[in-house]
Formats: sequence, C-alpha cells, structure tokens
Amino acid sequence: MFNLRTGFYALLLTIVVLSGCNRKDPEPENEKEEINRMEVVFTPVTGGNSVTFLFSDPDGEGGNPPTITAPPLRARTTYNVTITLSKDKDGKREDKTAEIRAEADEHQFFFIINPATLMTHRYDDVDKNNRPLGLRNIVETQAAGSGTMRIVLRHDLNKAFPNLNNTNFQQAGGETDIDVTFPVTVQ
Amino acid sequence: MRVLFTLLLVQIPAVCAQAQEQPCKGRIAGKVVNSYTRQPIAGASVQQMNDSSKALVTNADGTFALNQCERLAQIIISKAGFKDAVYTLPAGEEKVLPLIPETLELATVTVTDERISTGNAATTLATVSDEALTRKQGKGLAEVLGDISGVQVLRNGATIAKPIIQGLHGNRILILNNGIRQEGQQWGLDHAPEIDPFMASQLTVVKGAAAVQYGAEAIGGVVLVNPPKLPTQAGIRTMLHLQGASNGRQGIASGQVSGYHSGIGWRAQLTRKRSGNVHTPNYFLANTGVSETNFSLAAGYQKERYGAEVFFSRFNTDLGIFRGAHIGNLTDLQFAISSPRPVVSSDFSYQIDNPRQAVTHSLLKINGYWKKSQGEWQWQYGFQHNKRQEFDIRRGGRDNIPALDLNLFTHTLDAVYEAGKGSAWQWKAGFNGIVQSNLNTPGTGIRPLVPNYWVTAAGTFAIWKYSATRWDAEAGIRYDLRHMEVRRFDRNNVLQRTERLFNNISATVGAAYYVSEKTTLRSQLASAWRPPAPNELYSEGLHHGAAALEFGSDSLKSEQSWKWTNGISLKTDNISLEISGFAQYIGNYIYLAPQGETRLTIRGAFPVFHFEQTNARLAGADLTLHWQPWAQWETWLKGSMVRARDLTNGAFLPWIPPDQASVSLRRNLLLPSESRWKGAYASLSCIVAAQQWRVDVERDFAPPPRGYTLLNFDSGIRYEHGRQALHIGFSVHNLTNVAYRDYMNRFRYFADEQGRNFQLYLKYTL
Repeated sequence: MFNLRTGFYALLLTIVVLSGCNRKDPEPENEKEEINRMEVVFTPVTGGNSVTFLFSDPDGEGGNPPTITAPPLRARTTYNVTITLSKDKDGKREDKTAEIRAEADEHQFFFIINPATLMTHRYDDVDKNNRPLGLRNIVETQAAGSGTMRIVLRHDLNKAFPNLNNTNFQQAGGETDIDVTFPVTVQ
Repeated sequence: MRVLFTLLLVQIPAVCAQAQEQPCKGRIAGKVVNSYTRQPIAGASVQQMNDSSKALVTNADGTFALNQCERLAQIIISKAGFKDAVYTLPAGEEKVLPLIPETLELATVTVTDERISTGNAATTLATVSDEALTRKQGKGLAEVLGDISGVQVLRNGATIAKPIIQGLHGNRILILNNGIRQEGQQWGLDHAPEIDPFMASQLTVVKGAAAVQYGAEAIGGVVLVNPPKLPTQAGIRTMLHLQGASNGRQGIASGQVSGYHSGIGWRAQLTRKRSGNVHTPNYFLANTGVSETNFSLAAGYQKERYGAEVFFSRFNTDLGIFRGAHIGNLTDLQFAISSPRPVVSSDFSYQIDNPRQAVTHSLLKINGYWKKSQGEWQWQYGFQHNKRQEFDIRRGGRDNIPALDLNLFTHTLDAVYEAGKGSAWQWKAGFNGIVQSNLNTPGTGIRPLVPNYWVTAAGTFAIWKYSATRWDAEAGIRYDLRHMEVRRFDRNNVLQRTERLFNNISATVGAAYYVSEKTTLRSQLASAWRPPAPNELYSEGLHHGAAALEFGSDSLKSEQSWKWTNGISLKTDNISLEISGFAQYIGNYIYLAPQGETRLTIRGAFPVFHFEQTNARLAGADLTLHWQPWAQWETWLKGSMVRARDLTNGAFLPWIPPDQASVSLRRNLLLPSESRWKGAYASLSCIVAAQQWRVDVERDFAPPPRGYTLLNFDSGIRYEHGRQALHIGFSVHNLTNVAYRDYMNRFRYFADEQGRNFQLYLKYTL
C-alpha cells in the first residue's frame, strides 16, 4: 500500500497546481429588459397641475421594498393618463416605454379600479391592429372616495380574445410583466 | 486457477483447460441468464477456450449446445453489457449459467461449475431488460430507467425528465456515461440528463450509496449507462431502429454499425428524433416539441495484456417548454392552478418556440488497461463540454438572445489498480481527479442564475473484498478534497471572489450471504456526500418558473449521508423475487425553506425561500416479483415506496414520489421451433400510483393531485433469418386515455399528463 500521507500531499499539490490556472473575471450583465420604475401621470384635460403616481424599486426584485406614492386626485375630473416606464441603475435612467410601444401588438395594460364607482377608464391609444395598448388613457374620477387602482401589463397575450377586458385578461394567456397596485384617494 | 479478464472486451485468457482425450461422450449444454433478473440472455457468444472454431451464439431462450468429445469443457461466454464469464462444464448436464451485468464494481467473474459467484456482493443492482430498453429508448433516459422498481421520474412537462432513485434526484444521484461522471447542469430540476439511450446496450441502477467508488454526489444511487462492447471478430454488424408514436407524432431513427479490422474494433452510431406538440386526453400542450440529433464514435485496440479505446459522443437537443407553464407572477400561477385546462390553447405543430432549451453535450473518452501477473491497471481520461442555452419570451426583439448561456468544461482522470482477481482476497485502489470550469457567455442581458466557477477536486479510494464459499464481504474507504473558486457580481455590481474548500471521508461496508443456490441476502452500509450546488450557494432573486424569490447562502456545508441497503433475492425455476429495503440519514440536507413572507416587486408580490440545511431521514422498499407458472404465461409485480422526513422541523420533504405499484400479465405465443417467427408475446400492465398525502400543504402552491391508474399494452414478435433479425413491437400507453396529473411532474399545476399513445417500433439487426 502506498503511504497515505504522500497520497494526501500529492492530491493537495495537484489541486494547488491546477487551481492556479488562468481565470478571467466575468463581465457584468446590463439587464436591459428590467423595468424598475413606473410613472403614471394624470393631467387634467381642462388644464391645471398634473398628479404623478410613482412605483420605484431601483435595487430590483427581492431587494429593499419599493417606493409607492399616489397623491390625491380631484373628484369629477377628466384626466389624460400617460404611463412612463424606465430603469434606474447607478444614477442613470433608461427609458423602457418605447420598447412597449414598438411591440404594442404583444402588450396591453389593464386597469382594475376598486371600487369601480371611484372612476372610469378608457384607452386612448391603439396598436397596429387597432387594439388598445394603454400607454395613453383617459380617466374620469367620480365622487370623492378612496380605493385602489391596479395596473397590470400583460405580454404575449392573445389580443384577439373576445371582449378582452380588465376582468378576463388572464384567460387570454400571456404573462405578467408588471402588476402594481396604487392606493387612490379622490377628493 | 487464476483467470484474468478485461472489462472491455472479449479475449482469450491464458488458461488451459484440463482436457483429457476420451471417446466422444456427447454434448455440453447450458442456459445463459442475467444473474440479477434471471432473464435468459439471447445472442451471447459462447466460445470454447482453446478452440475458437467452436463458437456459437445463444438462442432466444438463452440456451446453447456444443457437440464435443471431452469430459469437461471450459467455455467463455461474452455479451455486450455483461462481464465475460468462464465456466467449466461437464458433458451431459445442462446448467444455468449466470452472466453478471457489467459495472465498474470490484467484483469479478471467476466462475466454475463448483461455485457460482454473484458478483459484487453488497450492492443492490437492477438492470433494464433488453425488451424494456427497446420499447422505451425513444422516450429518453429517465423514462427507460423508470421501468425499474424503486426508480421514478421527475418531469417538467412532456419534454424534460430526470430519474429519481429511491426518492432522490438531481445532484443527489450520479450518472456514469460510459464510465465517465456525467457533468451537466444537474442542479436544475428542469435539466434532463444529456444522454442518448440508443447509445446504450445496458442501463444499470445501483440502489446504494456508492460514493467510495464513484465520488461525490452518489447519495441516492448511481446510474450506469454502458454502450455495447467493441467487436473482436471480423465482420460488419448493423443495427437499425425505427420508431413512431402517435402522440406528438414522434419519429425516431437510430442506426449503429460496428466492425473489426486488423486488430481494431470500431463502432459508429447516429440517432435522430423529432416530435411535436403532445396531446393530453382533452387538449394539445402548446410548444412541447423536441428535436434531437446524437451520434457517437468508438474505436479500440485490444490485446490480452494491454489495450486502449477512444470514444466520442455528442448529444444535441432543442426542446420546447410548455407555453402554459410560463408565468409572470404568483397571480398568474394561482390563476393557472384554478383553471381546469390551460388558457393557452394550441393545435398540433412541430414548431419549437420560446421558451425553449438548446443543449449540446460532447464527451471524449480515452481509456486503457495494462495487465500484469499480479494485477491490472486501468485508466481513463474524459473531457466533457456541456453547452446550455435557454431562450425565454423577451421584449425588444431579444427572443434570439439566450436568457441563460452556460458552458461547463470538465476534465476527469481516473486510475485504478486492481489485484487478486479470482482469488479469495481482492482489492483495488484508485485515484479520481476532476478539473471543471463553468463560464457564463456574456451578453444575455440577464443576471446569471449561477456564477462563473472553477472546481478542482481529487479523491483516492481503496476497496477490499473477501470471498468465501457461502458469503462475500466488502469494505472500502475514500478521501475527497474539492476546491471551488467563484467569481460573480453581487447586487451592487461589485465583483466578488470567493473560495471554498470541501473535504470528506466516505466509507462502505457490506456483505452477501448465499443462503442456498436460490436465495441471497445482501446488506450494505455506505456513506456519501455532496458539496452544495452552485444554485444553492448563489441564487439571488426571482425564479420565474417557480414564482418565488430564491436566495442561496454561501455558508452552506456539504451534505453527509449514511444509507443502509438490504436486499433479498430468491430465484427458482419459475419465480424470481427481489426485495430491497433502505434507510437513509442525510445530515445538512439542503432544501428550499419557505420564509413565510412575501416581497413586493414590480411584478407583484412573491413568496421568499432560502436554501437552508436540515437533517433528513428517508426509508423505503422496492419489490419485483416475476412468476412464470407456464411457459405461455408470465406475470410481474413491482412496487416501491419511500418515506421522507425533515427531522429538524418535523415536516415532510417535498418532491418525494408517492407509493406506486404495477402488475403485468404476459402471454407468450409458442411458435413451432422451425418457424422463423419467434418470441411472439402480448402483455397488459396496470400501474397504480397513490396520492402523495405526505406533504405539508402550506409549503406548496396546490394540493397534490389524486392518485391514478394507467393501463398499458405491449406486444412484439421477432423474425429471424440467418444472421438477420427483425423485431417488431407495438405498444399503447395510457390505453383508456385517462386524464390525470402526477405529483412528480412540476407542471402538474398547469396541465394533465399525456393521453393515449400508440407506438410502433422496429429493430433490425444484421
């Protein structure tokens, strides 16, 4: 039998020699698809100060909790509502809205308002097939009250699904890219 | 008398039969059977030692007869996938001659008419029968192995399957592809082993912890995939498989040519497989096509005392992942679970869209042996390149950029010295070395799921075996040292370099007791270990398919396991019974622990899981009973059960197969012996799987599916004409087209299992 200690040193030597091989550092990945900021800007049709709902989670999924702000809206007011998506990284902001607009036929936003009497929503933009997208919208607030507005962005869904709306969109397939709920106060 | 053998090929041992000149007494006859399954072995070559002119091949029922003049004849029997065996047979008697499936274990096969050794005593082995191999080869490696009791299948929809041995899978079992540790990205539950079953002539499962011989990760068991031996006799041999299946409209063609020329045996093999969307009883599963192209080449030069072989294989698959299982967040998952059928509807198509996986695995092996009078040196070098690209549904025209692009390069070197073959005391000692690098190809635009890492590991072992008349005993010890260096970017894009050193001692002790010629008892206690896998150490973030935030921990320690395996086998003329039971303790068992919190992301809230360690206990039993009351009728009963507990938390372990049993009844048609049609049979089998109620419901997204009963039909016949043979088989899977879901399918949340499937298979040999 061979000497155990010699064997051990031989193993150790092999490992030390081989682990000294030329090893390159990896390159960091630029997560181009990541969206970590959503701004929903409510501009009254009749003019006046706009209101911005904000979801921001600069450290991404699973890190620190996101920031969600939703200042109050005025009652019985019609707003132009635009959504802006972007990615914040290392102090820089990259726009992601254009990517959604470019693939409008594969995407759609859905707006789930609870209670439904809080305000009404309708789409103000379409894709190349004349189907709604939801980057531009018109919202009319009703009487004062409070509730929530859930904004869902679906990707790769069947936009030809009959009577596609904010209650049946899951049945149209696809997957969720964004699902954010804002607390809403109408006063 | 000492007889030397090679593990690789047929050769003529330097042995002289003690033949005496006597008047002709008649015939030497025997029946060759598989020593584990007791199934007859057809097509084994039977050669008289000293007289190669008297060579013949066993019949379909394993029998052979030689006319000769001596009182005793020494014969050598060889068959691809089995160890060569030498028997000294007296004339006039017909003996049952077992052949031992070829494995890398210490056991050798020195057999005389006096003492029939059963090979590696302690280990409980199971081999896939030739028939099941032919029938199931087209379904992938895991599905073929699923034919063995105690082996189940972990599926990811219709296209991805991994074998489970006695409750454990993935990094807890080891696959030896032609003697080389298969090094792919085994940590992924949705990463199937990259092996073409058509390359194999034999598939064996070692149901014990076999870490002493094979090294880390052999906690649950070992799968041995062995190609046929290279020919050592002149002539070209051809084998051609053609298979078609109705479900998925699958077509497979696989061919193999082998030959022998001026001392060199060679073989070339090619498989092409294509299938489209599979159908459950009620709907098609969108994007479940597979396209696979595999080939292998081998050549070897063999002499009695030395020899070498070169082997190269390449596995190439492109497979679709069921579209309906691709979800964006927890709400999507819950909606999918609540839908009785997937919302993504589909028709039949061969098209493979995103999400999909494109995997290429190349293996180069060079091995050799050198025999000296005291013992034998065996060495092998293996190089593997595993390239895995996973394509996801992405925005901005990035569908053709892989979301995961990994290259795993592995070099292995094994050297073994084996001495004392054929004597009461045998031992072997060896060295295994491994150098591995895992590199992410930059440019995916997604944080890598596992980091770049480099592993350098070495192990050394020794095993001793003592054989007595009625029993064999075996003991072994091993030392492993493993170094791992990781370079990755943390959440803040700061480069982190970490180094880990693992070392471990494994040991095994076991024995077999031959109660009688018919009954054998086996017992083995073996330890095993595995280092934490890269995803367990470094996961950090959203696991999309699982709708969970998963976090690794780089302070995880190695898992350490003790497994006690016991087996009893009983073989009479018409009954064979194999029962094995096991109890296993795994210290530092790594699992995904739910943290009971959810975290809000832009995609909604996700539950949080951490990789943590606990102590686990597994116990279970497998049974195989074969009974052939008459030549025409045969019946099999198989069953397996596993119980698993998380001891620290008093909870059940997830993904443990439910109790399962199967019964099959087979009718053999007796055809006139002069007919060229042979071996006709029809069989009906019934598989019953219970519901897995041993789960913690709050740890899963949905309750386990109900149990189910499946009926399968199978039939076959063989046409023989000279050296040519044509096997024709027809089978129906899920005869009653029952809609069911399997607990061990990770896509059980989304869709039913496959519906009825008609299969036709042809195998032509020349």
